Formats: sequence, structure tokens, C-alpha cells
Amino acid sequence: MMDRRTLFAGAAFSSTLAWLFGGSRAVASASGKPAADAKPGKTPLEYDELLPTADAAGQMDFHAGFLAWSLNDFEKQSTKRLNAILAKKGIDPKAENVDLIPLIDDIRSDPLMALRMRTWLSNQELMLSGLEETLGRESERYFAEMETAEAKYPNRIELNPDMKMPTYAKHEIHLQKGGYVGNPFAGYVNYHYGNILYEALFGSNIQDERIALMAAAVPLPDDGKVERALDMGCGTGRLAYGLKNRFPEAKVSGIDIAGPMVRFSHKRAVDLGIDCFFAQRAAEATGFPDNHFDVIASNILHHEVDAAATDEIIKEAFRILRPGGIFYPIDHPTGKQAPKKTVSTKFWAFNDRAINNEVWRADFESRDFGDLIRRAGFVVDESLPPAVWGTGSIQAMKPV
Amino acid sequence: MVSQNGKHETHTTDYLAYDVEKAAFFDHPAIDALVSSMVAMGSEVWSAQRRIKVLESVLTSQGISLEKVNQYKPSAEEEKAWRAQRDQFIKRVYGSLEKTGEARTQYGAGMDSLRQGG
Repeated sequence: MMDRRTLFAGAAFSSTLAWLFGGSRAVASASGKPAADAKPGKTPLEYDELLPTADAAGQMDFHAGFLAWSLNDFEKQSTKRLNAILAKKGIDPKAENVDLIPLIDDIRSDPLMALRMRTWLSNQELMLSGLEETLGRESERYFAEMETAEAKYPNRIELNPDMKMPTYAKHEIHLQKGGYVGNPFAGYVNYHYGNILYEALFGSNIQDERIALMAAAVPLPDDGKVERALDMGCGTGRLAYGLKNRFPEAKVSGIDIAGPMVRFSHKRAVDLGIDCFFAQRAAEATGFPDNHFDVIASNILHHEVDAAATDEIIKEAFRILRPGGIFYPIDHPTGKQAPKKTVSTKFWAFNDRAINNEVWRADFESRDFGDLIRRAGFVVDESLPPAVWGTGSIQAMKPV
Repeated sequence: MVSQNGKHETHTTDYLAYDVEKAAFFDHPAIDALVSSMVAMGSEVWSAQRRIKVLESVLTSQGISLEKVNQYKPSAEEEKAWRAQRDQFIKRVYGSLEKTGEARTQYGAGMDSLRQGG
């Protein structure tokens, strides 16, 4: 619940997203090229081809543009304002580990900062509620799509409706109604939301162009053998598709704790003609045999689970990876890779929790993820460039 | 769980709702509501403009003049459907104003993350 007295009316919240996903467009252009070119594909589809009505397509197109404006032009102004507020207090914007709590009232009472946060939140709420309404009106169609895909390739999907859902997975992360587990169309909503977000930050990802870069960055085991690959916490399945495109001879699996996400991943794989196996399983208890996979990758899974689950997931990754196999978790940078804890950085993190409901992010970032993985027995290399600018770089190998 | 009409297994579970709808960033929540309304209006205006561009292109390519467009009279069914859509539009753009004056409540989750050292 939110009260203006305690809500910090935002510094560059968007920079959290920008920082995670590789910077705003302006920053990305200055930060250098991605590690590999995206695989060329069909001409990207537009929202009109993906959403059931022209109105919805137009609205989502607006929200993408508005978010891009928010993350770029408005971001610049709110950063200047924040720095001015700090300067008045004699605080260097580059100073680290400043206590934010005494500053919150002054910052949130600034009209520009309030407007920055309000417009971001309103755009986010309208975007998500618009998607939910639009998709909800076509519910029979989307149920039919998923059921048809499941009937067509029943051996490529496994659902576990009786599994006990851990509490950490039940939150409405980034305000998506029902979260990942409570809305039968969570995969559809998240797919469109992801398209909008990526467009605002980088450009189109409608055909998984950006995620292909992540798949391209996954290191190979020393022996080059990739017969089995896993996308851990697959969400809408996009990294799994990228892994399958990269390793077409491999058996590629994706697991997610949320049934609706697994169903969407499978449906879209069938649409795209991609042979992947998707299963509703917890990453901390996958059920796969020991030493099973050559490569395990994940895309922003870990900052959305609690600390206890993170520890178990790392142990599980170690168990199911074969000696010499590679564990490549793409997520927020932590430890020595983390950005400096300036006032702005801390503000972004605060708002990501306060108004974007990223419940577990602070937990995740308070620990050194690379070190946790090292202590689980992996050989960890944190020296390589990240898959995407702004994420951490951890290449972990299970010793031979 | 099954869908509302009972025809489909949803594969969903219960979830933990997060109430951010009452968030207020300004001295009075009416200002928050106005800003929300402004953003919603932008999405509607742009969506309509975009659609008009499509229509004009299609019409022009079919040799149909704007005069014909100006003379068009909607049918009774169209009038009814458009009124329903108008009401949806109004709800979307101005619905946030209905939230004006609701009590604000303490929001502590973000503060917890700060105290945690985030």
C-alpha cells in the first residue's frame, strides 16, 4: 500500500530497467555493439499482427513510445533535478552508500520527480490493464490456441497442476495482474509487455531478436559438446528458442514454475516450428537426472526468487549439469560487478520495489551471486563481457 | 482451477496481489488522477490517429475521396456499437478520476528494501 509520505517520488527509476537491459537507446548507442549480430529473420511483425484489435495495437504502440520518452528525455531531466536536490544538501551525486531515508521527503516533494514517477506508473498500469482487457475479451481464442498446441505435441509439454507453489512465486511482479501463476494468459501478457519494454529500450524484440543475442553469448563447454541445453526459468520461452536455433541438434528444454508461462512457451514454439520441451517445474527441484545437461542458461530468473530458493537453484544447477558443463545465468550484476551504490542507483532499486513490485531484487543484490555459485563448487569466470550491457557476467563450469 | 465458464483448465494458482493503484505522488491524489488521465488520453489519441492514417491510405489507394467519407451516415448497429466503444473510451481515459479522494495508506515495502541496504 502506498502513502505519499513514505513513497519516494522517484529518481531515475527507469534507469533500473535501462541498467538491467543495457541502457537507454542513447546509452546503448554509446556503449558499443552487442557481442554478436542478431540472427536475421523475417521482417519483424508489428503490434497489429499480434494483438486482436487495431485499438489495442495503437495503444500498445503508444505505450512503447511513451516508455522510450520516459526512459530517455524525461530521464535526463529527472536526473538533473535529483542532482540539483542533492547539491543543495551538499551531497555529491557520485557519493556511495548515502542513507536515503532522510532524503526521501525532500525528493518526493519535488514536482518534477513526482511527475516522473506518476507518468511512468500510469503508463505501466494502462499498458498492463489494456493488455489484460484486450486479451481477456479473446479468452476462448487463447485457450483454444494453447489447447490445440498441447494436443498436437503432447510430448513436448509437461504441466504439474498439483505442484505446491512456493510463496515467492506468487507475487505480481512488475504489476502484472495475477503475476505469472494466477492469470491463465500470463504468458501472452508477459510476451506483449516484453515486446513493449524491449522496443522502448533497444528496438524490436517481437521476433526474439534481442534474446537471440543472449543465446549467442552463452559460452560453450571446452569440448564443444552440446547435446542437452536448459533454459532455467524460461518465462515465455524465448531463450529456449534461441538456444535451439543456436544448437539445432541439441535437445533443448525450458522449465518454469508457472503453468501459464509454460503453456505459452509451448504454444509459441509450435507456432514457430521450434522443437523444445517445456515443463512446469521448480528450478530448485527440476527432477532431471544427475549430470544431464551440457549447458544451463537463464535470463533474469534469479532476482525474482528469494534467497533460499536461489541457494537451492544453484545447487540444483550443479547437480544436473555434467562435468565440464556450463552454467550461464544472465541477471543483475552483483558483488564487484554491481554498479556503485550512489544515491541514484539506490533510488532506482527502491522504486523497483516500491512501485514495480520487484519483490526479491534487494535480496538478490545484497549478495555476491558469483561467489554463491563458486561456493557451490563451480569454477567461476567473471571476466568476460556480459551477454547484454548492464547485466552481470558469470560463466560457471562444473569441474571435470 | 477452471475458467469462469467451466470449459477450460487454467493451470493457475492463487497469487499475492499488490495494491499500487492507490499510489499518490502529489499533494492531492486528484493531481495523480489527472496525470493518469492525461497519459490515457494520449494513448487513445495516438491510437485513433494511427488508425486514421491506415484508413486514409487504404481509401486513397481505392480511389475513394474524402467527400464520400464526410457524407457517410452510420447504421443503427454502428451507432450502438460506437456508443459502447465511446463509453469504454471514457472509462479508460477518465476512470482514474474516480479514484480521487481515496484514503492513502502506508507503503512500507520499498522502505524495507532501503533499510536492507538496497
